[in-house]
Amino acid sequence: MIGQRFEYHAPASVEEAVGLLAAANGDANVIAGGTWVVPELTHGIRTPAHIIDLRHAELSGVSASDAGITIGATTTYSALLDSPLVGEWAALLHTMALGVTGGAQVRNQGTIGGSACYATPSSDAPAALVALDASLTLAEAGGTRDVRAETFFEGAFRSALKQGELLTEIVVPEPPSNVQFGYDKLKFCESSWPIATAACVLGLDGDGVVEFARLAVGGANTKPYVVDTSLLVGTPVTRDLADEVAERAREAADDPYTDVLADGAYRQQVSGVVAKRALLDAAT
Amino acid sequence: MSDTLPLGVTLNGIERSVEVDPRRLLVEVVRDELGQPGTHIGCLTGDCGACTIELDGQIVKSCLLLAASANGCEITTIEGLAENGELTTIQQAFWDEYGFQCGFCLPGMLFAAKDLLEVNATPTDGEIRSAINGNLCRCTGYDTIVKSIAEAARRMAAA
Amino acid sequence: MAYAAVLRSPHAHARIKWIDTENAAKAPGVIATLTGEEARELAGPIPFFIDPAVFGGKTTEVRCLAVDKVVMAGQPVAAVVAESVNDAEAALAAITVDYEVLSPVLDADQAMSEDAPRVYDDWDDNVVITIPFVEGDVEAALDAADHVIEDEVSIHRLSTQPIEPRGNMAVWEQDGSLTFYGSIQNPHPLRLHLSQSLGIPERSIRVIAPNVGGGLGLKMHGHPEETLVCVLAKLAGRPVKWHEDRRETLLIGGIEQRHRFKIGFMNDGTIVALQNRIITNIGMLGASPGWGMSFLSALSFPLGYKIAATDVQVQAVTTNKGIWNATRGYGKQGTNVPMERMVDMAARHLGMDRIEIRRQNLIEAHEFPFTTNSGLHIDSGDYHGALDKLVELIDYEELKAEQERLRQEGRYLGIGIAYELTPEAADIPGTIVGGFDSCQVKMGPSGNVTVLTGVTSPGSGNDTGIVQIVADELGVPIDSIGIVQGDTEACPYGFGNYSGRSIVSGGNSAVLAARDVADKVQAGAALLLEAAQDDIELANGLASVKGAPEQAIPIAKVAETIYTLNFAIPGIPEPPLESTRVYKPDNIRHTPDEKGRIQPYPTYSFAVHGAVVEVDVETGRIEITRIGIVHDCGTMINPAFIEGQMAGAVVMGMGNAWTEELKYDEDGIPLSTRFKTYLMPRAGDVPEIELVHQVTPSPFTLLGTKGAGEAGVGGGMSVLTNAVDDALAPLGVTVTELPVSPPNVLAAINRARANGGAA
Repeated sequence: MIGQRFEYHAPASVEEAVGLLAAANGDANVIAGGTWVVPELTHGIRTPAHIIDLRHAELSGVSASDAGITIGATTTYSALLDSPLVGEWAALLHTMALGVTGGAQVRNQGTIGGSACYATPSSDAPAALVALDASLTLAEAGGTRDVRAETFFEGAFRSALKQGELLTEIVVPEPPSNVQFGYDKLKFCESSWPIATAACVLGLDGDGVVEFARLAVGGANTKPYVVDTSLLVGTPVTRDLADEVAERAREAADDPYTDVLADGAYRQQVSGVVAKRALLDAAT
Repeated sequence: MSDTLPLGVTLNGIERSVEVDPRRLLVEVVRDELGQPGTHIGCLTGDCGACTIELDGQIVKSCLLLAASANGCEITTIEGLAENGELTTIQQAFWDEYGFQCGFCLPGMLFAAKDLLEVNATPTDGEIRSAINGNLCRCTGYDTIVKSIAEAARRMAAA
Repeated sequence: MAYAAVLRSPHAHARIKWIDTENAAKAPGVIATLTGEEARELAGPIPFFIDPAVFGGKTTEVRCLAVDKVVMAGQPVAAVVAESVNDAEAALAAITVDYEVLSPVLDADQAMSEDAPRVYDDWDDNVVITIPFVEGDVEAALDAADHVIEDEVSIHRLSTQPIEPRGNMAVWEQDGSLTFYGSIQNPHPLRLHLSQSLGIPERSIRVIAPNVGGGLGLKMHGHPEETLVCVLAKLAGRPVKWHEDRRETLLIGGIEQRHRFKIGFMNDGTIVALQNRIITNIGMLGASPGWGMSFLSALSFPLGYKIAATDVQVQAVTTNKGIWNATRGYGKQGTNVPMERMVDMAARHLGMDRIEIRRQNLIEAHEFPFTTNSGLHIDSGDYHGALDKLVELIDYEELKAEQERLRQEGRYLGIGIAYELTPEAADIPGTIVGGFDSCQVKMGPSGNVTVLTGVTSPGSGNDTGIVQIVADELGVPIDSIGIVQGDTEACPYGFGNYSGRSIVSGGNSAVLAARDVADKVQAGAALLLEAAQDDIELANGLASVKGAPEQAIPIAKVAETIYTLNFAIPGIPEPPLESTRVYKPDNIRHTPDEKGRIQPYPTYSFAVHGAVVEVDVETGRIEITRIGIVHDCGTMINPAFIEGQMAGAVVMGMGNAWTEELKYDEDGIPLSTRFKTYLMPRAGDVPEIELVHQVTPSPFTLLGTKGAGEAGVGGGMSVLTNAVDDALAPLGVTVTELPVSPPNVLAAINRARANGGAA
């Protein structure tokens, strides 16, 4: 049960929210779905003076723009699943959202923005956002800035989000028409958070020859990373090449994450496995 | 700052307003301030699903929400399912198929089942299992729960 | 109502130098605070559910709040009562405790070394008790064996974790009496123990266990919070409620143990010798009955296997890990898992089929009752019949062929086989673990019946089962019967829920009490129908004359007549239509035999299990694709409930063996603090269970029932472990370490590959 007293705010707009954040001077927690933050309040792990609840801040929804697809920060996983735009242009996010642990309830409550901000390696979203080369819009009282997903995640539970900043939306660039997605996720059982995830975006010509490839691995390192897939360009994906990519993914897992479920050595070993499987999934 | 906030919700079809401590979780307020103890607290981390309720038509784990966040929302709890003392088809199927033992997970299971059958009238066993993956049961091994939901689907199709 | 919160030690081993609750006492909403020193003035030690001293072991004083020293992280050191749970929780942060941190000892082997820190300052070592069971000359038998395997099997720390955590509430009346409400398993024994720790008469306490959201052993008492809540309610001057947080539930573990064994067997597969040294890591020694599982893990060897010479010894070792409490299976899984591993190891060594080696060594149907090497007197069984049914159920031969085909494709299918023996309905002499239980059956003038029992239901359905039994005996409809459980004021003395005893002891006492009432009803009906009492049948709410169904009278009419016309009708039986009876199962013997052995279990249910898994050898992940069980618990009262018990137990056992583990860091701080780090099975993790019943009644219980509820945990653990072992056999892996979690499985594969395994 929550012991520490706090002041509760439910801003109705981004402007109001960033104003409250600025006024709180670092002693505030933002909640969107609440799936990560509320249990930590309950257990006294977080004891902020202010809670800024984005439920009414009009930050939910998916829309198309010139830049691609814009996803509001408080868009839930189930809203992503229900979005035809996501299904059509960012099917990878659809697949990712389907696999979120915790049942329909957590898909109704968890938000993609909240997941990004929490920046836990044990999350489905980060690798997918990195593979899609998504960009995250961060707002503060003075203005906004855009950060690429690859640089937004800085480590376990660390992101580029600075004090006073609020993630407002995530922009996924519109993919070329010949793109194929692949996704692989390792979890121990249905109760388990993801241990390692891999998301692959593959551009193939009519003969199955790779034109471009982008492969990201989450959960293995303390932050998601992009695997060097340059060797794939100009050839079809073969088992041997996939093994080679797996080896590169494993070598890149040089800062492996350790938690109570799996140590770094384990995560390092399986990083190549999920990378290979996501690549093969994308290629077929 | 005030020690309490006004909270207005429509609970099982009835408008209710109470003053709540901002520290209170929705599950606590549902059970204590709003007097609906059929919603259970099993973990307070969103893992067990015993606190599942319906919030504005979507199932949620009410331990993951501050009560204040639910201001203005429509809430259905387990107490709001049966009408005039008559069990719903899903509840009756759980009763008939022995879909619970201790009953602690039952309210959450019923909401997960309802949520599934609203969008999928003819689920496979695999789809049923997937739909209740957010809910833990430590008694049944899940078999009779899966059978209850399949039976409910059959009865709803026949009705 | 006021609410309690408990401040717990952040250290696994530390001296408490001082505690300052002054600021907490002034915090908003706070009604009272309490430290260990203060609590010691208000309550005595918590009595042991099972005191190791009764068996010649060491003991210690357990207090509701630590005094001077904490010996586990999470041990209660202070408490607050406040107007709300939130205020109580907030006030905990205002308590200051100055600790002198001591080196913890976490590993049982290390705890046994000379220079290990002592968990209890006045003990000369950390061994709580050493219990040997020796039969025959094992050294000679090992020498004479054609083959000897020497190996180890270790089982990790796990827990049962019912979905409802514990909860207690204490209400003191003005006359000094106490009503205690709790999510607990054993109301009457708790009443005794509360009276002892609180220093008030047993008669002044009423304990009520309302509907319990799963017990699974974890809600057997001896926990600090039972006494604590009573003391806090007294201090606060009003009712106090404490609701356990899951992090607190997860402090309670069990089972962690290592077996170092030698098993000797002949070329034909006959197992001739077993030597086993077991060390259990019981963590802090608590008053709850958990530590006693160590005893069962040794006593239950060698299950139903006929091994001529056995030398099994268990040492229960205290450490600075968390406290144990009973885990469904009560230590018998600590026999089942290693024994079934050993049998598989022998089979693999000989290239023998795993069903065949079990046939070769298990007691045969005609040999029952059978006395095992540890003195257990197994009532009845047909293990070979069950094996035959399993082979058919899972189509064993076809499975083996499929396994071969998949191996050619580089896929690793494993077929697990496990036999499971579950001694049930224990009575442990000198403790409050009773093997008998009681029941009162009362029929009123309307013919309605109230059943009051000493057993309690954690949701297992024994209440319904007992009602069914009474309905059968009295011949009245089920809906005319009500049952009351879990209230020490209302119910006759009983021991509550554990050890698969509720139908064996509670059900059979209901039979006896119901038969007494039925006798009177029959006598009354005989008088009214002018027939002989022996000719009166009770069924469908009617008392009728055998062979003349038209000569009948409603049972309700008989009851009404007995109560309202007792002076008018000479010879009609005397009211009330009530009887209270105890059922003591046969086959319990507490007088030691010539070897000093006792026989504390009246009956022995059993099962054989088959499971199919596929192992992803790149990640260690397991998929469970089939679970087949042949279960025999003797006579069944309600097969649906028994199937539910077995399904739940097997899935729990599989979770126990697979991904459930209570982990600690090197300082002894618990790391498994929620259901995302203590991973219990969900619906998508398991397939539909295929269950076949076999019925071999016990000759020693009234209805032939053997008890259900615990069986399946040990079997589920064993069969999953054996299936993983079988899957990985081509890689040269032998599974000796539980859990078979993906990291452990991958590590075993890595080790086998590094050693140039058979792949």
